[in-house]
Order: sequence, then structure tokens, then C-alpha cells
Amino acid sequence: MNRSRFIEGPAGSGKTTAAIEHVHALLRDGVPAEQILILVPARSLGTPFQRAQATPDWPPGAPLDVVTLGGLARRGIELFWPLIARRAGFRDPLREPRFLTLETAQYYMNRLVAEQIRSGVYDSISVRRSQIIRQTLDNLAKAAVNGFTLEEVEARLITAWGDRHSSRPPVYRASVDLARRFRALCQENNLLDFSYQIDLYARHLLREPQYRAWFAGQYRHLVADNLEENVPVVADFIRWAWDALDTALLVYDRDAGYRVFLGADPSGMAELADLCQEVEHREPAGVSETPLNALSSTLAALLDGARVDESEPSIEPGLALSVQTHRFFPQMVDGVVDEIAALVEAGTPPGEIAVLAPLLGDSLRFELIDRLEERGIRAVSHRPSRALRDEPAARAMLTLMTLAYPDWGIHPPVLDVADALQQVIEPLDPIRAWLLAQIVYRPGSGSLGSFDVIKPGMQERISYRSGEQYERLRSWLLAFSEDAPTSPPDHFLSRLFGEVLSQPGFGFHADLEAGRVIAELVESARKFRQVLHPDGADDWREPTREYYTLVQEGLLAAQYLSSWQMEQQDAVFLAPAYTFLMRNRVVDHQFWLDVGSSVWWERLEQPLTHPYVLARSYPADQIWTDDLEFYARRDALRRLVLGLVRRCRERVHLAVCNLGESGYEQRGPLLQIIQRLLQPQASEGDV
Amino acid sequence: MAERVQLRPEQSVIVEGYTGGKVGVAAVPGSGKTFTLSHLAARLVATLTREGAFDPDDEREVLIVTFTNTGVNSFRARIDRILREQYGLLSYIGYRVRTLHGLAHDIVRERPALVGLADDFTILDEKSALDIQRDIVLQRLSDWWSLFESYGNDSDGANRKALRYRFEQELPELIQRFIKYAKDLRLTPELIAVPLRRAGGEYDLARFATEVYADYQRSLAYRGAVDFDDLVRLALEALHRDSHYLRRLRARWPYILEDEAQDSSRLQQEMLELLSDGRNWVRVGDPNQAINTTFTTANPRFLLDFLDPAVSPDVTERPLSVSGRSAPSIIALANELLRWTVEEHPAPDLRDAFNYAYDTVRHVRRGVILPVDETDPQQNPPDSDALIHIAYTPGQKITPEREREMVVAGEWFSLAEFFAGLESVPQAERPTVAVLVPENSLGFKLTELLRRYQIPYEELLRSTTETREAVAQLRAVLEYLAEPTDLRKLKQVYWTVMTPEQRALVEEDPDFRQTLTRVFSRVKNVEEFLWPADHIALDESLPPGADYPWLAEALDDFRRLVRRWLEATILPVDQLVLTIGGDLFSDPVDVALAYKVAVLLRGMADSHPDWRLPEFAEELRVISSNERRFIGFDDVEAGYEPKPGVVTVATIHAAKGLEWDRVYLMAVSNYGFPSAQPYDRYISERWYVRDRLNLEAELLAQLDRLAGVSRDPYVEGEATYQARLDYARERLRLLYVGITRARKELIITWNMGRSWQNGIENQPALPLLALQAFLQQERGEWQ
Repeated sequence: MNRSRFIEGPAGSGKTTAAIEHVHALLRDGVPAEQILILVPARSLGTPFQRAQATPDWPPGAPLDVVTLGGLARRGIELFWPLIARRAGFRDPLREPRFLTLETAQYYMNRLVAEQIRSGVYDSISVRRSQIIRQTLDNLAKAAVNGFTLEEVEARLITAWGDRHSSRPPVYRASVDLARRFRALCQENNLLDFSYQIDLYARHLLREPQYRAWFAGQYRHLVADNLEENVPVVADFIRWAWDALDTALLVYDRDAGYRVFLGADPSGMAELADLCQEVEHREPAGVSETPLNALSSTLAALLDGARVDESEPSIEPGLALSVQTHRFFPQMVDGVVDEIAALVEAGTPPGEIAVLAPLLGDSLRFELIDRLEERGIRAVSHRPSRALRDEPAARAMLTLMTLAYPDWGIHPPVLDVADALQQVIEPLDPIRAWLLAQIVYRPGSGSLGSFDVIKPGMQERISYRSGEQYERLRSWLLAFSEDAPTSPPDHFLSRLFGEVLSQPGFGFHADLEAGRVIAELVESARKFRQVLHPDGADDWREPTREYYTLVQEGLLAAQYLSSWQMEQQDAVFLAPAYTFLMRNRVVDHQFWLDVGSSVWWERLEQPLTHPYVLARSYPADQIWTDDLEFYARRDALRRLVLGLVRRCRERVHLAVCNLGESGYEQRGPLLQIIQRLLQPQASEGDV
Repeated sequence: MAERVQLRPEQSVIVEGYTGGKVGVAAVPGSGKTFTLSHLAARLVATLTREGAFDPDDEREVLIVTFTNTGVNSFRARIDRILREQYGLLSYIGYRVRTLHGLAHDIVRERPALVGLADDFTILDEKSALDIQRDIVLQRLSDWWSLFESYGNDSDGANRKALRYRFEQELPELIQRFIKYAKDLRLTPELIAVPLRRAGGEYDLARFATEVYADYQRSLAYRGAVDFDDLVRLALEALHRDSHYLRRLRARWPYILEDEAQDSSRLQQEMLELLSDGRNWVRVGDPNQAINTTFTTANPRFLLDFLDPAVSPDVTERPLSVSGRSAPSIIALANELLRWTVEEHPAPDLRDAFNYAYDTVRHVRRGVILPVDETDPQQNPPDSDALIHIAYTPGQKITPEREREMVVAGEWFSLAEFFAGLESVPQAERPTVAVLVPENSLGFKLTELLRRYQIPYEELLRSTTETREAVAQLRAVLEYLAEPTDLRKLKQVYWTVMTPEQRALVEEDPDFRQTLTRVFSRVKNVEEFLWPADHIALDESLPPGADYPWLAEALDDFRRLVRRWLEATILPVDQLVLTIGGDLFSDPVDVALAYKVAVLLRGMADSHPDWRLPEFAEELRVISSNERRFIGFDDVEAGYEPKPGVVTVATIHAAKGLEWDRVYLMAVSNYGFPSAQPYDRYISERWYVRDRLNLEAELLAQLDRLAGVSRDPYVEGEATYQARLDYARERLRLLYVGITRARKELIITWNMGRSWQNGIENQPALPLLALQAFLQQERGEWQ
């Protein structure tokens, strides 16, 4: 190793800039871009590197190789599959592996869990089937990123539970057993979910001399940014790669660590500093006394358990804060919208405003965007306010799907047919669509009658033009039944869209948004086909029905549009607080919504898994006590709050409502801390 | 800073003299229980704040637990005010007011995984829970039909179909009580199944119920949901499972103040005992106002035992026995009800209905209300302003209709007469008045009559009128959207969105009414009105010569609104409701309600993917027509304040804690207020069940035995008898609550019931006769 450096410091101290500068320098020195491995914990955190290479002064050459551990693992497995598949116990090493998405992994596990649930093994907890699946997948992922065996996962969960109640250990065992069966199924069918990819990579591929030789020939330089957000096996990987490298730059944010729930191990990563020749500590640029800095240090002190009067900021931290308090939740939303409108009016660009909530539900997102738009202010969110399957265009496609496959016996209600017709037949308004559906649709048989045979008076009411389009759609659906056995679901969807609905006179003709939604839907159907039916099917009608059912049950297409991206536009940004942090963006104004909500402080607590116990740094023989829980939460809140304040330039606007979204009174710890900051001293009435 | 309020000596001992430990307060009606407790709470908050204001690790709070959401709101409002005005503190920190369920929710919410829940667990409201239970009962009923047939009334054996129908209708609620009760006893289906295995066929009712219970719990688990009763059970479970968590909560709540402690249930008792850990626990209540005990584990015994030095030697008793609320003659009447019941009630078993024991320290009887002394700032209204009238003449027969007529528009002491005498009195100076009824149904009928006589009134029945109105408006819109070609429904929507001015015009101006009718009668097809094919200007659809130039624009606005909503029907239901709510409402409470409805319907859509607009509209119908308690909805309502010159129509239950200048107590007959006499009939004894068995009581008695709550063997019929006594006791206390609502005037009426034509006549309640005798005697003495 020629040079190894560890840079640590808080947000805003120029660490990533230094990393980019380091890469730039390597390139200037003639290092080919392919030899530089840039490792980030999540793809979104690689954006600064991608942006940098788009700047004019960037040296020409191959694009930078910015990857996550998952990406690296997948690449390696694809290259060296036959080598590791046999040793890892796959039944058919000569056949290519199939990589599962979260959705398809859930689908496979769904097949296994039903039997377990019937046996009553989960009766002592109250969670939905989809959660059992997700939490079990989570256990698998935690095992993989920490390098645990499933036996270790089981033992850790049971030990940490202690002797609280005898009903829980069997439930942990059941979840781990489900995980084992899932692994067996994967081995049998060459399936690789995220956890298995990491596991294969860490346990098998990294031990293969051939892979090592390949790696050493490929990469000479490592840049690992946001190490604090990465998982323990990444530290293993870095140690493994160390000797093969000419230079290494490791970048670490001492106050962050927002992905602990996903297995990030900030304390373990800090130890990598010991490997490096140089360790550089940075402080934020311009540490001058500003109200925001005072706020940040006061909050830090409060969250560290110090007394406010001890921290003695020379500048009043309240200057960087504004608080508005309301009784009801929608009043708070209005209040925030008013304040944003005033800021924009006074010249703040909307892009310099972020609205952050502990949780951003669909209803809230819809309401906020709607209200801001009423004021003529653009707003974007990290995702749209509806899951793919809830998008009206997707719902219309699924309704038409049931009509094209009458032999399934799934007959949608009239209202669904009316909704679909309203959307896809361009001239139809909702009432005429409703009328048409009432007349032509027979919910008993799921069939559509002809427009031509309905009474002329009614035809006139609905309009002949609409009738014509309707007939085109109907004939297409009828004709399709002949092709149904040979058409997989994605073909059905793309043909229906391409041959009919995107044509002039149909509702999706000029509707780009609907087009985008349908493209996503087609993609989900395509993945379904490729992963679950890689060898095709003799008759596609049944698999298509399976696809439809999975979508309805929320196991497929429950994600949000993956093509949804926060466009680079000047718009107010709405996001859950953690999502905002992971974007690593700085804005002038932050609005913290619903400060009283206890969700600011809560972790996602699940009965089948445990992010802290399933961490390498957690002692395997330790019971997880309430004290540990309390300090873990406070630590998480501290990281969150400081992370947010450090990403704000002007002012933090707090919005409080006494009654939360569902009408419950709000008394969350964040509110209490803020109140402590603002509380005057009691004047009377000692006991 | 405002001046310190003047406290009565008894109140001052509690507010200023409390330094810690366990204190029991038996408070008579009108003695300022909430007032005193709020001041105590505020003082403790101030102390905690002073001790820990700058210590970030200090998350201590005063915990106040009360019985209803209204109670929560009223406490919060009072404490808020005192903290702000008297102590100059931020008014919303340092304390927490909760119902038992609210507290349980806090505890579970903080550590859901401890009790096997995911962080996004849902809470099923009572109606959804009942719906699931009903499905299971109906599925299982056929297998068990012979059991229920054996409970059928033989005299009616001819009609088995009718019997089956009755059971199908009423069994689900019976089972719901069983499940609630089992949860109160912290019994899971598995725990009940163990003794059931050894039990004989006489326990078949419980066997059936346990099967349903087991299925029900499984179906909750499948949904990742809990019901309200689970919440309390699970909160206790969490505290028992994790001693560190318990320790943390104990540290958080160093003072626990419990209001309405006479309604404390077994679980509440256990929870607060656990949290207070023998430290600072102040329990306040009136055992004589325990009116929520039937078929629950709530029992005034818990409070009485707490107050009893023999049982709880570590508790200090601090009575609140002085009340400035009512005129002395009304106080005397209330005290007489206690005395008569305890000393003379013809059913000796009922003589323990009230707490009236002799207090050897103070030399008074507990429970007796004492008027204030002359130094008190709140003097009792003088007897010269008082009126007590019991409308009973021996031999007189009064039908329910007649009783209502008497109260609303009769010759003597009626509301119409009362209001006629108030015409010259400014609204704000008019007295407050209430009509209190034992059941909701009577209240609804009464309001019809009040409307007819144009007497201003407000309902305080199951949910408030405003709540229902806002939901009803949303419902009208959803109903239309579910069937958009229905012109009648569209008109309903127009009515709903009309401005108050327009609505007034409709009421006052027949010409405008006609114009509107003509506008809508010209609409042949709804789509022509909303989406005219050839874009005719709307003015043309107006009748010629219309005198309302603004109407065209108003109709056009309406059209735009409805089109917007129709186009939004393809959105998920929450987003649709938010869109409509945003257009319909401007009042923050209404907007908040719409938001809440949106979130509620979204939850329903998630658990019922097959639901569409008609089902959602139906849900709103259920809420707006009062069949369903809209959970958390009450939280938005501030505590009720009687308005001068407006009649409050309320059940006696809902009237608890309130007072009016004039109070009517209606339907005080032996049906609503039985006295364990052979001729009494009981609401829980169904005509189609043999031997006048109270199946609910029998079922719960079986559970008591299985759970070991009772060691006696189960003998059919005993529980029915016991239930009559329990019910009669509670109804005596209910009557007491009713009487003590009145400040100056009290009018008590009765009726002989609906079935008099079938030969079943209700009698005036025995205590009514006793009170009348007392009055006559008193008046005789005066004369």
C-alpha cells in the first residue's frame, strides 16, 4: 500500500469533497477509472461522484465504478458462479442462478409460511403474514451482513429475550426455521435473494484464490465513502482487499449512522482507522458562533444528558428555531403551508425548503402536495403518494385483465369497470362511464355486452363516439382470449396498452404519467415471468392469474414507481426525516412536522427480529434490557436531530400539533426536549 | 399572574396539604372533584418542573387517569389554564391525562414487540370487532344449534325459525361481552380451555363462547390487529414481562392521580397499583355514582377497600363532602335516597347499593352531601328558588307518548311553559336545562317533539350532533359518488354544500324553494347537468324569470365541485375523502374530522380490499347515525358545557359530571329502575329464552367458575338472580346521579312502558314513591 488515509468528521466538513478530489487526483495521475473502486452503502450516496464526473474539468475516460457491496457481490457471483455454486451446495451448479428481488423473494417465502401459520406456531404474536415474511427476510439479511449463521441468529434472539415470557423463543425458532427452509428452496432452484448473495460472496467467493487474483488484477485503488452507514462484512471485505491495493481512502461521519436498522455498524467501521497510515479529523467549515451552531450544540448537550445551563451557549439557540403549535393535524399542515408560502414570497427558492416528517403517510403526502400546489408552489417527494398497484392507471389495467380472462371466475365490481372505462376511453366522463358499465357489464359472468345492442336513447346519452371506442376495446379483449394460453402477463399488459389504450381516442394516448405507471406494471409482470417461470409455461392463463392474485394481495407491485426520481427542479422537498438524511442534502429551511409524535424516537420494533441484537458489536450472551432500548433510541434521536440541524443553513421550523393524525395526544420525547429548551422556570408551588 | 383561587378547607387539605403517599378521596356530587384534582395536578407539575427543569434526563410527569375521553379533555383544559395563569409555565408539559385505554396504548405503543406486535399494529374498533365475532358465531351456530334450542322458550316452541333468528341477532353481542370479560380477567382461550376440558355439559355455553373467542383471536393475529380490551391486557403483559420497562415508567410517573375511581376495573386497579408501586397514588371518586359496573369487572369495591382503613391501613382518607351545587332541598332529596335505600329498601339485598357507613372520626355518614357554610364563595342556590316536582298520582296511568308531551308541552312544569316565561330574559342570562333519560332511544324520540315545538335543544346522546353532521355531509357526497346518476342523491349533495344563507333562504322563501325544485326538475339526466354534451351555458337551465341572479353562478360552482369529486373517485379512498373534506369544510374541527375519516377509511380499505364506495358510504352512515363509536373522535370534542336557554337532551350516563339549573328525569319506572320485586322485568332477560334466564349473566357466571373467580358450583338461574340485584343496585345509583345533576329545579316523571296494550304495564319505580312520600312529609312539616 502506497498511501492509506482515514478521514473522519461531521456533516459539512468537506469529507466527500476530499474523496472526490482524491479520485480526481488519481485520474490526473493517469490511473484508469476502472482501477478505482468506489464503495458506498447505498446507491443514492454515490450521486456526488457521478455528478463530479459530469463536470467540465473532469478528466476524460471510463465512467467511475461506484458500487454497493450488493452490486459487487452480484457481479462476482455472476462471473464465478460455477466455481462457488457446487461448494455452496446448489443442486444444479451448471444452470445460471436467478436473482430475486425483494418482491419475488417474498413470493417464494409466502409459499413456505402458509403451512407454518396453520400449525399455530405464530399464535402468540399478532402480526400479518406479510410481516412474518419480511421480518424473516430481515433475519436472513442481518445474518448475511454480519456474517452470522442462522443458528447464531436464533441463539442471539433467544438470549436477548431473556426469561420474559416462554411464548417467544418458539416464535424465533419458527422464523429461523422458515429462513432455513427458504435457503433450502433457493439451493434447490438456484435462487439468490439479497442475503444469499452477500452470504455467498463473504463466505465463499472471498475465499476463492481465483477471485482474489481477479480482484487484484482489476482494482488498485479503493475509496469508501459513508463508511458509518455500511455493514460489518464491508469491513471484512476492506481488510481482505487491503493488501491488493495501492491506495485507500476511507471516509467516516462520526455523528451519522442512520442505517443501523439496516445493519450498519458505525462503531465497527471506526476501527478501520487502525489500518490506515494517516487519520485526519475534520471540523465543519466556519465553526463561527451562529444560532444554528448554538442550537446544534444545545440539542447535542440535551441529548447527551447534560444540563442546559451547563452547556452555556453564547448565542441564543432559539434564534435558529421557530415553533408553531396547533390543536389539530390538518391545521398544522395549513400552518406549515402558510409559512412556506411566506418564505417563497420573500424570495426563498422552493428548492431550499425541506418538509420532514417522522413518517410520511400517503394521506399526508397527498394533502401537503395538494395544498402547496394550490399556492402555486411546486413540491416533490421521495416517492409518489400511492403504491404502484394503487395508481389509477394500474388499477384500470388490472380490471381489464380480469375481463380478458373470464374463465378465472374473478368478476370485478361494476364500479371498478366504470373506473377503468372512465380512464381508458377518452371521451367518457365519470357519469357516462358509470352508465355504460351499468348497462354493458354483467358482474355475474364478468362479461361485457355490445354497445350496438343497447337502446338508441341510451346510446345517445353515452355518445356514439365513446361507444365506438368501447367497441374497439371490447373486440380486442374478446379476440385476446384466443391468445391467452400463449401470452404471459407482461405481454398481455404491453399489448393491451400498445395496441389499444395508447392509441388516439383512448385515455392513455397522451397521458405520459399513465404510460410510466403501466411501464412499471409491465416490468413487474416481466420480472414475475423471468424469475418464477423461467422455463415458460404450457398455458399462461394460470400463471397470469397467479400474478394478478399476488398483485391484489400486495406481494407484487406494492412498491413505488422505481423510475420515480426527484427531478432536479426548484421544488419543496417532502420526505421522512431519515430519507432526507440519506440524501445528504443541505437546505436553507427545514420544517419538522408533528414534532410531538413519538415516532421521531421510535425504532421499527418487530417481534421476530432485532436490529441491535443482530449486530456483530452486540455481545452474543447479553439480554436486551429496557435500559439498552432507551439509550439506543436516545442515541438514534441524537444522530437524527444533529444530522438534520447540520443540514440546515438558516432556520429549523418546528410544527407541533396537540392531537396527532389519528386524534391521539402527542407527547413524544423530541417535543419534550424542545420544550425543555424553551421552558421558563416554575414560579410557585413547591411540595 | 392571576390570583390564587379560593379553595374550601377540604379542598385545600388535598391541594396544598398533599406531600405524597396514598390518599383516597370520596367526593360527593358537586364537591369540586375535578377542580380539586386539577389544582393538585398543576401544583405537582410545578414542583416537578422546578426540580428537574434543566435536567434532560428528567422525563417525570404527573399521570392523571380518568374514565372518559370527555374527562380527559376537561382535565387537560383545566390543568393547562392553571399552569399558565397561576404558575406561569408552559401549559402542556409535565403531565399526561389518559383514559385507561389511552394509557395502555401509550405503554404498548412504546414497546410493541414485547407483547408480540409489530410497530404498525392496528387497533380494531368495537364495531369491526363485533363484525368479525358475528361472522364466527354464525359460522359455528349450526353445529351448536341444539344447545341454543334448549334455551328457547317452550311457550314459543312453535316458531323455531323465529328463535333462530333471535339468536342470530343477539348472540354475537353476548359473545362479545364474554370475550371482553375474559380479557378483563386476563384469560386467553387456551387458559379457559384447560378447566373446560374437565367441565361437564352444563358449561356448554362457555364452551361455545371459548371456541368463538379462539377463532376471533386468530383472526386478529392474522390482521396484525388488537382490540381495545387487548390493549389493556397487553399493556399489563408488557409491564410484567419487562421489569426494566416497568421501572422506567415508574420513574416517569412519580405521581398518579386517578379520577372516577369508583368505575375502576380490575385491570385498571392492577395497572395503577403496579405503576404506583406503593408510592404516590391519589384516588378520587364517589362510590355512590358507580354506574358502569354491570357485566364488567369494574367495581366500586376497589375504591371502598382503598378507603377502608381495615383493608388499606397505609391510605389516608381525605373526604370531599361539601357541595355548593344544589339547593338544600335537592340535597336533602338525594341524601334521602341514600338513607331510604340503606335503611328501608324492601329488598334487603339492595341495601348495600350505597356507601352510607358511619364515619367514626368525622361523626357523619359517608356519602351524605353537606351544603357549604356561609363563608363559601359558591353558595348553594336558596330553597326559595328551588322546585321539586314528582309527577305521580296514585292510580294514574301515563303512556310514554303522554309523558313526552307532559315534559315538552304539558300544562305544569313543561319546557314550553318554562321557555314562555323566559321570553324577556336575554339568552345569556337564561337558566340551563336538561332532560335526562335512561336510554338513548327515548332521547331521540324526545328530540323529535322538541323540534316540533321549536324548543332549542342539543343532544348529548352517544356522539355529538356536530360530529355526526360533518360525517353525514361526507356521507351524502360518497353516497352520491357511488351512484352518480341518481338525481335525488345529487340534490342531497347540493343541500349539503349549500351556504347557510342559501339554506336559510330555502327555509324562509317558498319562491326560492320552487325555483330550486324547478332547476332540478329540468335536469333529465345527471350527466347533462354535470357534463353537458354541447356545453350549454348553465343559465339556460335556469327557469325563465328567475329572481336570483346569483343562482347561476352558485350552480356552476356546485357543478365544478361535483365534477372534481367524480374525477377523484379513481383515487384511493383516503385521498378522495381528503379532497372532498378540503372543499366542504373550513372549521378546523370539521377538517380534522375529515382527515380522521380519511385515515379510518384507508385502514378499512387495507383490511377489506373488496370494498368500494358503497361500503365506505355505509361505514359513514353507521357513524353518522350513531351506531358506531368513532374511535378517537371524542378526542376532538371539548368537554360539554350546557348552554343557557338551550335544552340538553342526554342519557343520565352522559350527564355525569355536569349540572343544570333545571333537570327533568324521565321514565323513572320499575323497568328502568327495578327493585328486585317479583313483578319487575329486566332488559337482559329475553322473552325468547326460557325461565327468564339472563343468558349473559349465566355465561359470565360459567366463566367465573372456570376461572376460579367463584368457587361455588355453577347452578343455572343463580347468576340471573344475582344479575337482577346488581342491575337494581346500579340503577339506584343512576337515579342518584340523575337527581344530583339539578341545581335548583328537579322534575321527575315516569311512564307505563310501550307494552301496556299487551297487558304489561310498568309501575313507578319504588324509590320514586319513597321520595315522593319523603317530600310530602317534609312539606307537611313545613306547613
